[in-house]
Amino acid sequence: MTRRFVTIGIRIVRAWTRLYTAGMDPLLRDARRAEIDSDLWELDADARRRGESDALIAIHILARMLLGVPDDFSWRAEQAAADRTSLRRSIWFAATASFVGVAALWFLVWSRTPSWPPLPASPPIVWQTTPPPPPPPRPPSMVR
Amino acid sequence: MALRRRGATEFHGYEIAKRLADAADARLLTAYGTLYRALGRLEKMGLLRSRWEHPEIPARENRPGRRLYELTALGEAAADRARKQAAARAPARTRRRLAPA
Repeated sequence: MTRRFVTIGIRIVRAWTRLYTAGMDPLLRDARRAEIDSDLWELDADARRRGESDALIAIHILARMLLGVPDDFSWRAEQAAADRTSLRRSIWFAATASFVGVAALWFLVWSRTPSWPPLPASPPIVWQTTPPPPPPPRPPSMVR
Repeated sequence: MALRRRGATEFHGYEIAKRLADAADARLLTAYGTLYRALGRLEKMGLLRSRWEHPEIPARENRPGRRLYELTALGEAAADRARKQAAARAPARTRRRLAPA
């Protein structure tokens, strides 16, 4: 069950890496993606060898990604500075990257939140109307 | 330097992160972005050189290929300097700790 979290964590890191390397020089891009892939595999294999729980592995994977986001931005900006034509791509990247960062943070919180039991069925709603009270009798001075 | 002491000459990124965490007694490894940006800079500065391992090795071991880093002659010299500076600082720190107030 929790193995699913490790798989999701790895997918999020891969997606993030694909995103921040999008539109770069293919040599640089492919090298970074392959290096992160290798690191993810090594971390997972090493943690399992040491008997770490899958939930902890998933959290470790995501924490390493989130803590490295500022450096990913800087690295991307350094590459963009070297290549002026990729400026527009970098702006697009910054906007999309922020969205992915928030989504990853949401996943991290969601994976740590216990699932709530289903709510009980709501009681049936019955509308009750009462007739208005009768008008008061006329005052005695007006009776002739 | 710690990896060199074990007799290895080439290291991959995860191995470096693991060794750094062990040395600092930290549970969390260096973030991907921080680690690989730093390694890239060291390579650009000429302190490290890297190569991808032969594709047959990861295929045989059923894992992704590793990028292996190695210290250059310039890197060796910088590591030696850092080691000597650290050794020079260590006794001074000890003297300060042992000196009466």
